[in-house]
Amino acid sequence: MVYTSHSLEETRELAQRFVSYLSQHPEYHFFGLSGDLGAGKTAFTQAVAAELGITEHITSPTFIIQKRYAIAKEGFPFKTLIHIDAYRLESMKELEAIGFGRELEDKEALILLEWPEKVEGMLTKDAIIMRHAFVSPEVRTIEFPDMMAI
Amino acid sequence: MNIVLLDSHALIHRAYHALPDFATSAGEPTGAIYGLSATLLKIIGDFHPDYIIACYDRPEKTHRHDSYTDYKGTRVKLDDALITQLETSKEIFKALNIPLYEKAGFEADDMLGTIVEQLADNKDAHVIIASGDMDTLQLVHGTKVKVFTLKKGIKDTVVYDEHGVKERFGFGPELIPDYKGLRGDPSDNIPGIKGIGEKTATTLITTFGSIEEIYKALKKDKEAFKKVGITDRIIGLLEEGEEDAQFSKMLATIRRDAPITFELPEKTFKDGVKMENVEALFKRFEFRTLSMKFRETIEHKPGTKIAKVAKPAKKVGSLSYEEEHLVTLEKSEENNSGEEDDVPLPKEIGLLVSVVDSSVADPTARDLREVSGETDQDAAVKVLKERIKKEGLQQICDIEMGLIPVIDKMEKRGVKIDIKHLNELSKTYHKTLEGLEKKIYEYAGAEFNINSPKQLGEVLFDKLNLTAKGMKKTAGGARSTKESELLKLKDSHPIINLILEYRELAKLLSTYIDSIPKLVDEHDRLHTRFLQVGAATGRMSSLNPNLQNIPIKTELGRAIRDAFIPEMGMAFASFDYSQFELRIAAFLSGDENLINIFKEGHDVHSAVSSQVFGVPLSEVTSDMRRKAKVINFGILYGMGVNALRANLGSTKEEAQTFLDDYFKTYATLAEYLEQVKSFAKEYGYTTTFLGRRRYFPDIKSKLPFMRASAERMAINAPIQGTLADLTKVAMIKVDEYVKREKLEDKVHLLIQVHDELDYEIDEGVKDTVIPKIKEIMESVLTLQETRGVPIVVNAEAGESWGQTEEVM
Repeated sequence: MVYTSHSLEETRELAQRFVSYLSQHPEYHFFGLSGDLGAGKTAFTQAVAAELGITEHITSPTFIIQKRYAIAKEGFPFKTLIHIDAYRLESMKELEAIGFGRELEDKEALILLEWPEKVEGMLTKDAIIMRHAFVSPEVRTIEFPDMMAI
Repeated sequence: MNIVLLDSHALIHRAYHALPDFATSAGEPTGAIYGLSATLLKIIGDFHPDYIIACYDRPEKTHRHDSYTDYKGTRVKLDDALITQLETSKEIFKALNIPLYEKAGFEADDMLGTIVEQLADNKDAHVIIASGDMDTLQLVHGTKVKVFTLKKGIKDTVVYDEHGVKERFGFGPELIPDYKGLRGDPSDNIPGIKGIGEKTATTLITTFGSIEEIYKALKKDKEAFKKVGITDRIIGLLEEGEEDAQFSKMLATIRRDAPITFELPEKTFKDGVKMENVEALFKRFEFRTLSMKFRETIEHKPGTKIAKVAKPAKKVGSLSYEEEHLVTLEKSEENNSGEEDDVPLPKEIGLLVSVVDSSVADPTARDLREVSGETDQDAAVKVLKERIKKEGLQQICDIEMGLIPVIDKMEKRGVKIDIKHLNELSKTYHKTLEGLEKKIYEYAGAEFNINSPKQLGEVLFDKLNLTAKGMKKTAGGARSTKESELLKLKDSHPIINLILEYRELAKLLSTYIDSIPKLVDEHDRLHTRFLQVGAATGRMSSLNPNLQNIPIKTELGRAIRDAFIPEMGMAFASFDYSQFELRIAAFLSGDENLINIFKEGHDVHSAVSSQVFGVPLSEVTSDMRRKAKVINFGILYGMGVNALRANLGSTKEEAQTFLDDYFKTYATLAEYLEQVKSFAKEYGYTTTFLGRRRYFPDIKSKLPFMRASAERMAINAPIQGTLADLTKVAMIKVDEYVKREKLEDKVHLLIQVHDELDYEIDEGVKDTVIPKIKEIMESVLTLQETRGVPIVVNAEAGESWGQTEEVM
């Protein structure tokens, strides 16, 4: 299902629905955000973080690889948001080095990983891939797998 | 609704002792009034109160004196100047439409307590009590009643809510009278139980509760007391002192039932203030700046407008003597002098400015306006964010934003200082300084003030007649005694070296050894301030003190660093990037010869010697290596043939030949440096590996030496800047690692200076953590990005910053 956003407010709205959906489906905890530079992956992550009550500034962790944030939202099934940028990773070994395997096992961690293509071998069966695309300076699309009815 | 209650006595008292003896030209003392007004200003600005109420003590004896004639018996009689100002202060409150509450037989604290009690039913009321001491903390309740108290002087303040009180004492506000009941309060001459101090009192209260509960428990089961470490002796003291404890608790308890009726004034504070009255009063006291600041603060609507420069730039001469004095005091305490223009911005916004223009180190509202070209804060932020996107600065911006919490933690944590050690150093080195002084006087044939450039000039140039070629003069026409000038005279007289030594020693003593003990907090921790973009290259810098200037190679530098110690149970670990600038130069330029040296793991100076002088590695002499070292570092700073010659101590031809051979060997590096220079000349800026820009306006200057200087800085900027960027990335990554492994109370980042990161690490985990930090720092870039040049970090650990030894 492809959703189109014409503004940051609409992206925020979409993030809201995404977060509500997650509240009801805590079994989905690992999301790959696929898309070119400027397609809106980080913007979507920022909107989701805002929904989750995270006040810290979310930035693209290209050089840092991974950043975690504590989720303050009451009653939300996840306690930590883990934002990963796999763009610079040359191998899965590097992902393992930062403890990714353990994080996958943490059922209370919500993982948003940009550039999942770079680490295909690490994608478990329950990883859900969202595709982001740039349509025009104001417009972006986000595609979720059909089974997710947001 | 915010209601501020003032403990007027405490505030005026503090102000009186914190400030110098200001007085009007007619001789009326105003120091305490000034301090009170400044504190009021801060309170209004920080809390935006709807109402302000002032509570006073009365001269009559209080109910506490009735029970205990010696109450507050240890208090010294007040100075006349203070007494006068206590009375005058009431005029300030009157002009500001602040009602006064006082009652004979009761203290100001009881007024505060009663008002708090009478406001308890008012759901909207949020009370902040401004007080100078800890007595009022017992009135704190949840987040609805807080206490704002002054720590040192009048600038350092802390706000306590219930949580804050619990954190500080280990128990809640309601138990503070009980605490005083046991421990007593020497300043009020409340006895408590003699022999029971802070620690014991705290243990008793946190274990058993109030005094009543403690005694109940004591009568039931003494064993419970022994179990928490209360000795038999203390148990005896407790048993004997029951009456004293209860009595002291009564003295220490603030009354909430004084016979006054508290009523909120009809008008809110801001609405009720008559600025003309305030201004007239301040005119009488000769407080010119305060008058303006009050008007601004009271009429200012809290919002996001950046102040426009409505007032003309203030000339120093227009301030009264007192205000000038205070402004200097304030400036030296690292606080803005009050013009809204100079107010530092919140970090996130300030960094936007520094990312766009790296020459702005600690951005103020004025900088925000100037760099963005906008007067409204929101518009300015938008403009800067656009520029950041357009100019490829997003990466750098993300890194700086991500660094903010890391720096906050660093500043908050501070670093522990061995004060005793510094005091010993002070004794020793002040003696050395005296010795130097004596010798200098001997040579000069007289005593003089070595620190006075005028007197020094007279001694050197007139008395001793020392001259050298090309001595410069100061702006006033006198001969300069700057270090660079004295160095020219080095060989002409032994006094020169002594003077240089003297100055260096005096500087270290005043900047570090004597000043650090004054800067530490109550746990002996020094909280240096770190500026994220402290240098135009992108490097961080530190203030109060500037840790960068602690000498690296000298014994004294080491001794000073010995005073920086880890917390107990922790080790001091130092991680230093090895030859990072050269490595960065290698991969930025892509010079194969240089890259290979690093790939093969050779000592770079020896290897460069080998390549440039054409001899096998085994035949490189230490002299050759030294020469290569000079040029290796110099080249990155755009060092030319003259500087090289001076550094090598060779002839100009030798230096030139060396330089030519060097650039022949590293032709790609030479080309790269030239490209950087040309780009800077054409576009006016340079970029680092991650995109940070540095601008060089002087590169188009008409003055050749300005141009040359800018060119040299431009050559170095991408290398230094990349180093700074990568160090920051490492800091964030290590922080993430620490959070991920839940080691936040075992690993703390303390210092970032030069190319190193310093941590204190719990002994129990250091063997796993140290290699991991080293690994993280070494992997900030992939080998592909560094074209195969390995990034190497030296890890050292030990008992202090000065005593670390290589671990790996």
